[in-house]
Amino acid sequence: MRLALLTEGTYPYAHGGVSVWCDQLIRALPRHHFDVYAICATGREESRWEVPDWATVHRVPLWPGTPPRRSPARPRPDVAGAYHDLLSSLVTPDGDAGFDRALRHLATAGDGTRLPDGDRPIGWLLDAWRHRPAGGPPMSVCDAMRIAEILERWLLPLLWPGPPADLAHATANGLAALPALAAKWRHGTPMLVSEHGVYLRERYLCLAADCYPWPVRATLLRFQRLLCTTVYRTADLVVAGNRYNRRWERHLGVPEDRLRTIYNGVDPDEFPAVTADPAVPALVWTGRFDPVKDLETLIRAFALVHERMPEARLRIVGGARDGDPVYRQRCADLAGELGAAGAVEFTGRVPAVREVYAHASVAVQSSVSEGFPYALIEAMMSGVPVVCTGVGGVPEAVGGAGIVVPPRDPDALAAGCLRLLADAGLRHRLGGAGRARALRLFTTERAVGAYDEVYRELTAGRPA
Amino acid sequence: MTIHPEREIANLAGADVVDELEVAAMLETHGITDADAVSGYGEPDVFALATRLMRDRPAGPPAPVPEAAPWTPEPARHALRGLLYVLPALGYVAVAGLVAGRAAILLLAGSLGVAWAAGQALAYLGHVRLGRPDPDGARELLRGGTAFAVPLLILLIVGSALVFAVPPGAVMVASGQVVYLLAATVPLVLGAERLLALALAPATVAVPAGLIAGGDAVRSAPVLGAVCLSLLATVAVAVHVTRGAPVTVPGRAELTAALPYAAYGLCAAGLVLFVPVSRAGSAPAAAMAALIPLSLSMGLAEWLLVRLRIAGHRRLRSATTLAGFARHTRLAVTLTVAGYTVALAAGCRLAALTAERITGVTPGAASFVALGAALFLSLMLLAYGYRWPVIGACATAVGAELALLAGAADPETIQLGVTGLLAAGLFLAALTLLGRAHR
Repeated sequence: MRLALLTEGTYPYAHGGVSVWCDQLIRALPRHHFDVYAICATGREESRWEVPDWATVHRVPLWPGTPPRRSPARPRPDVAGAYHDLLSSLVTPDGDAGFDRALRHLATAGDGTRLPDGDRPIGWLLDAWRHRPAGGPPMSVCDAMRIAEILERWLLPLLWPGPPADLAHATANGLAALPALAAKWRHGTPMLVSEHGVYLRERYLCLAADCYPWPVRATLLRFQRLLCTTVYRTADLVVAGNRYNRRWERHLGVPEDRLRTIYNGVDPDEFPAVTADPAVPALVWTGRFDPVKDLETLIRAFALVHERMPEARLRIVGGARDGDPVYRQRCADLAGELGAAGAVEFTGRVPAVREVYAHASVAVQSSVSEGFPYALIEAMMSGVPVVCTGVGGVPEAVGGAGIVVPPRDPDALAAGCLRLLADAGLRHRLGGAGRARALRLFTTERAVGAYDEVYRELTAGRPA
Repeated sequence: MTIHPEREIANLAGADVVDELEVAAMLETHGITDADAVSGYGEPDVFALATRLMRDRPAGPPAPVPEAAPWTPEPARHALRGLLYVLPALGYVAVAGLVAGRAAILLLAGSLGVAWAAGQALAYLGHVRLGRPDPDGARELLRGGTAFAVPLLILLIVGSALVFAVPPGAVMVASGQVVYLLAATVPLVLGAERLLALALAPATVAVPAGLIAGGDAVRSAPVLGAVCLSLLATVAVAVHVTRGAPVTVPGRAELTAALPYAAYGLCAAGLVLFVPVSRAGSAPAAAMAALIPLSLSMGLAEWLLVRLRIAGHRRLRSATTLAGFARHTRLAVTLTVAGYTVALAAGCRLAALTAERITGVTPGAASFVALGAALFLSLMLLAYGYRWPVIGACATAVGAELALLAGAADPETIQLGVTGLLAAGLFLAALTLLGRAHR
């Protein structure tokens, strides 16, 4: 089977959960051929993964150093009309149907389709904004220029001529799903979308308010919202990485019968069960430095643990490169202020995370937002008992085989840790239960097998 | 689970959120779940709670915050730069005796043209690196580029001199001119105008003193020595402001990118030198008096262009229709060009009157005003990124002038007609192209 695997900003150019999962999926299925369409910024990004022979990476750069060569021909009137409708739909309320129609027209307009450029799209945006009933601050010519420029780039993957595929698998909603929409509309190619986080939800949080004037931000987010809902409506199947995310997918219009959950998995051989307790009570946290991980709460909670149990240690494992170095420093400073600096160790990135779990009494996660974190299922697979905040997919991952506490609550987090540190029996019981649960539900084999099954289902009845 | 006070979560739906889904995303990162929405706020889920908060928020989206323009006009700096474009002229007064005969004048004009081309290319590449911002890279490029271009151009001059049997005096003047123009480009790009002014001080004092003394004093060895000292000091300034930077030759990609600017430098030199070279020997030096206000006006031109760009930057952020933007831009372009032309015309008139008082000859100024306006407009279009159309127009103008000269017409008349047409064409192009929002 020939699969088009669509990524944006992840595999093979970045580390992180989605890339790990792409690598697992490709490696486990050598009988398929994967055409990886990697949407990236400049096209000069370095590959961080060794791509197996049965996969081919095609770069889809949105911001190459030299601007895309323009064909001399003017865009066809119907293409210009569709682009005008698309831009207007971003500004008018209830633009959904217009957006859908226009996007489809652009996708199926034929090879070498060129969007109108110059002042025309800028004028369309300004006109539409002036006539919008919702009011709001005025859109300036500069705002409209920025929007037009970004949208022209964002739509590149839609106009990309992909090779024929038996199935298009987008590894996220949003821009990565554009080539899948195009293949679906052009050739009826079955379309599968996996979501580890919720793409649209992350766009709201990432497109920071201070980067763009309000009209720019509102229009760009409207584009992402309409795109994501179009993808949800059009996909043959949407696979959520956890049941929690399904709430957004259901809310945005994916019918229950086209929605499935497949959990991430890890390799049991890579994370063997830890048998012996470490010499001193040791809490570990693994991940990347990011404010959503709320390490302040973790450090405050540990300070409380440390007061009651001065021999306890906290190891914070994660490279400064894998996140925000300013945030890391703030966390280190906080540990100092709370008088726990000597007991908190920042190890940086480590080559083998299994070694970290081998010397851990308890694994802790303090995030305020999560999908279905690998760090958590790795700890469970290693048989290390977990204490974590009940956000996102975490409660369903833990499923009773660990302690779940509210987010942003150092007292509750500390109480959970102390309970486990004080009670070896409970620790071993929960650790064992976690490993059993992970072996049953969260193995690579199970995850990849479920996807292979989905591939077969979606392509069944189509000529090979 | 944690229940946040109503007031606190209401703050999440701030004035700048774009829709209810953004509020929902923010509620979730604050740990609020569907269960909280039910138990704490009586809503069926987070989405319903977000919709309520969005509906009840007190204020709509905020008014835009003005953004500062990335450029600042510095009148004093631009005035000094204008002066720095003029001062080298003093050097020619001192060395005029060394340049005699048609071949020598052509060699001097030709070397000025290629030096100008190389200087424009280097300045462009330097500014690109400064803008990245990569000041170390800019210093490296200017040092390497100058070290690479100067020997090459001198070799070219010596070669041409051998072929056309030009006397050694003129070869030295032509070489000195190349060294000065390229070395001076370095402090002019890196913003070390004051050091360059300091380097030019010996010539600036000695040449006028020689002129005042009268007779052949201005061509005497001490004055010539002062001019050479200024030349060496300029080289020293270029070396000093790029100290520590390695000497690397610009790469192929950069050289290609700089090509349009080199071509423009060559065309501009052709237009400026047309009258002086065609009149060489047949008109008194006073006829060229207008070249002084023309050089000075380049400082004014730079300042006006910065102001025009700042106004354009502001207009892009205040205009809400393309028609309004275009109207205001056309007005600004017209006023800027008119302001420049009037100032240059006044300067040329003043220079003509002064020349008349000293020499009794009244030089014509109109052709220099037309030339200045054409150069100013071409710089304006270049600054806005329109390169090849500008270069094409300037090259055509140079070609037309040479062709008309063969028809034995008067050089000033040709210059006035051709550069007047060029200025008019570029003005129309500026009104059209700069009125567009998109480039």
